[in-house]
Amino acid sequence: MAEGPADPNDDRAILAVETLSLSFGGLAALASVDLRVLAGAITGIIGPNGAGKTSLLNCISGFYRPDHGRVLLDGQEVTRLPPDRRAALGIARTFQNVSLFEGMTVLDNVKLGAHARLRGGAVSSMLRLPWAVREELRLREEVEREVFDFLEMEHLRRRTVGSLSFGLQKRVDLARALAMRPRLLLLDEPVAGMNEEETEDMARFILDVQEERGITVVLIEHDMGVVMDLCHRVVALSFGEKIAEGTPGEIQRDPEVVRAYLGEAA
Amino acid sequence: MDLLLQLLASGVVTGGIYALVAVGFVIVYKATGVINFATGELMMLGAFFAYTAMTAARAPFALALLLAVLAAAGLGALVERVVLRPLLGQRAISVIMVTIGLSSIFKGLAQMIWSGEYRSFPPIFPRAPLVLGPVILPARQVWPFAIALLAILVVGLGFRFTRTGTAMRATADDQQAAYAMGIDIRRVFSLSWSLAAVTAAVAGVVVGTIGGISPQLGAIGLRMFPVVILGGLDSIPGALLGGVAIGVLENLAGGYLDPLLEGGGVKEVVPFAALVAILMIRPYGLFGTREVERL
Repeated sequence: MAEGPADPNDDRAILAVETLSLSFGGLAALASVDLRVLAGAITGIIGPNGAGKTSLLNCISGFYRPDHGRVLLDGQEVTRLPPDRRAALGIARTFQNVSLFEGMTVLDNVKLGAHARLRGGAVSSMLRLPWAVREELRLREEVEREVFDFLEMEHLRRRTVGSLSFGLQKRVDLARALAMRPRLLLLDEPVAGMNEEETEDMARFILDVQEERGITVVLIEHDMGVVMDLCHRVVALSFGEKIAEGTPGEIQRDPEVVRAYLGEAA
Repeated sequence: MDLLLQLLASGVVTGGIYALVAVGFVIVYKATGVINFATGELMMLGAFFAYTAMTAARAPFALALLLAVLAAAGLGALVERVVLRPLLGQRAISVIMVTIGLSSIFKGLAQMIWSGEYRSFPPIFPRAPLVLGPVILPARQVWPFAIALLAILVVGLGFRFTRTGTAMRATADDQQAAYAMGIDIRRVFSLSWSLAAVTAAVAGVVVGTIGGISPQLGAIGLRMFPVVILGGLDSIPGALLGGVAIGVLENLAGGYLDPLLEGGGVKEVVPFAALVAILMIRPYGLFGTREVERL
């Protein structure tokens, strides 16, 4: 799957991470990591536990502030922006252990993803003024079409999130992120804890997101089958450092990567 | 029978006001996890704002209430920004101590500005009492109750149906997810404090119109603890129900038990006896989230 948008000499990087370092109380989580993510591609981040994958994702989405280095979205520096501002610039993410609004219905969760894009003020929405109602209806239709149909979850609309299986909750998490209409989608272990069928569904959805919507995807995943099938490029981290980068085939043969994984197993 | 009805009715009326105070407390707790011990003093300051507008500026009551609400909103936002935001991420006990400190500061400030003297609002409401069959409710209770109920309704509907309210609910539900969805959670924190100060101010004003005001008015804020413990620290419907339940309980105890005891005072004690009992039986309250920590 090395062809297509993943040509390494292509310079359409939507996201660039430069010499990013982050430490927690003297322990280096990230050590001078560089990363370029090409627009329209699926980029995988792999590495043994504690390699700094989630820390990297948190630096990109704004939950962590790096000690050194920069994060650039479309060439614009976002290193100091909080998560909500980055969301407004088109970065959406899901969470490793799903982080949904538990007490709300699936529909309300997904609508909240689109929430930040609405313009109507508090007063006009409370008084149900015509334009606020129109905006609400438009949002509802859009969410139906672009999210519920797309992710085959029409039947889940009215369910409370807490009553769904973990696999379905992860789908809702993805749905909510898609409702934000992001340009860059960050997925933290999208198939972790899923059975085979759920994993296949999720992998298909991720491919559709990239192919049909043209959304750039960065994903962290331990399931090597999924990484190798989906990703155009793969970046391997170990102990906070980038040890390899390339096509899935290159990464599989990379001696450093093999050593990092075997070293962990030994 | 008539006494029972009368006591129940007054209990509901008092409870409505407790509920309003409790709603403000719950909003801050839900959104920010802070237990606000300065709620009573926010009531007291709100009452003084309205009192000053009415006496010094000769504003009509409605305008004075509006001014008090605006001033309280500003004060709430200021307190959040200056005092609480720097404490984000600190241990709960530190933050609680700070709100207790705030309550002392507010009391001292009020003493300095308005002196410790006891004051009454100028007459505000029409005098005709509300007569419901055998029950007679004095106007000076009915109007405050109506105002408190209206305020709860506005806050409740706003929370449910507005975009800002939705953002606040989402933040209360899962801060991390709300942040990632593009919700400015610092703005939500600030709004929560504003809203808590506003509900407290309205409650303070109505309490002040019933019983007069002084820097000690905030002591009544402590009554809200039985209310929120009963209803659940993080539940707005719980605050409403808890408020009415405690109000009724207090009035029944006052009506039936106080005359039996020479010193009286059962009325003051019963809510807190209930608090202890609830903590033993159902520490998360009627509607609260089970995980809520016990303090």
